Amino acid sequence: MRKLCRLSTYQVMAGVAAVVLISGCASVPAPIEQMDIAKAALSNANRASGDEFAPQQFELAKTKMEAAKRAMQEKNYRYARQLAEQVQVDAELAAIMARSAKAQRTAGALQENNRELQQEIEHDAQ
Amino acid sequence: MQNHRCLPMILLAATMLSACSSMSQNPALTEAHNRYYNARTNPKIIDMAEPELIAADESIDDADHAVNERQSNDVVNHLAYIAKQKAAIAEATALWKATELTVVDAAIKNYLARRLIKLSRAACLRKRNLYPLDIKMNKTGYF
Repeated sequence: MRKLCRLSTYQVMAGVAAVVLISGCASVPAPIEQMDIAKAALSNANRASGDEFAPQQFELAKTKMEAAKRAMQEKNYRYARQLAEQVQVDAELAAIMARSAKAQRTAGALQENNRELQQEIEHDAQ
Repeated sequence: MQNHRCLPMILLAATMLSACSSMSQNPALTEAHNRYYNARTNPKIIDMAEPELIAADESIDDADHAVNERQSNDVVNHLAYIAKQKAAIAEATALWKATELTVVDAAIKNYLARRLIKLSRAACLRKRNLYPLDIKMNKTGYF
């Protein structure tokens, strides 16, 4: 007890701060699973040609993924989790937008071809 | 006694008012609510992207819950962003599925048109084989 009393105010404050920091870190675990989900979503968007057909959304997801990795390195797990969750939705949106744009292109090409075939049919009938 | 009976109603009204006022104070959450409302009231999205709409609905609830629990602006903004993007995913999914149906429809028409051309040309060829002289005469200008 005497020893405790001998500790300076600064030492006590440093101890309290250390405890708070340690407990803070312990309450926010590293979002490893969420990071994996984000990586998978980004990879899926890449396979769907998100960079070509939904460049804005895809770039946004990529930039956030880099920021999430940096936050993980800095052990800022709360921020890393938030960023990884945002990467997931941004990448999912990019993938769907890309698939939609590709489907629109296919539909347009088919419809154009159908018009040409219709002209052929009319020509053959004459 | 009458005042006591009214108290729960007053509290409920006060809670609802405070919830509404706190929600409208966060622009990100207001934006998410608007996006979600637009998706939820679009029959095509309800029809074609129901699971995505449910996911957006859950995210909106999470964000509202965070506001009611007076969580930090940072947390609310993050949850509102997730909700807004999920509403956008529902919109994009509905558009994608509708476009896929257009592709299928156009592909069927394409197949039928090609088939029709093939059949009519085959019929024409058969006719030529049956009446070769007529064709020759046509080509040489007898008729």
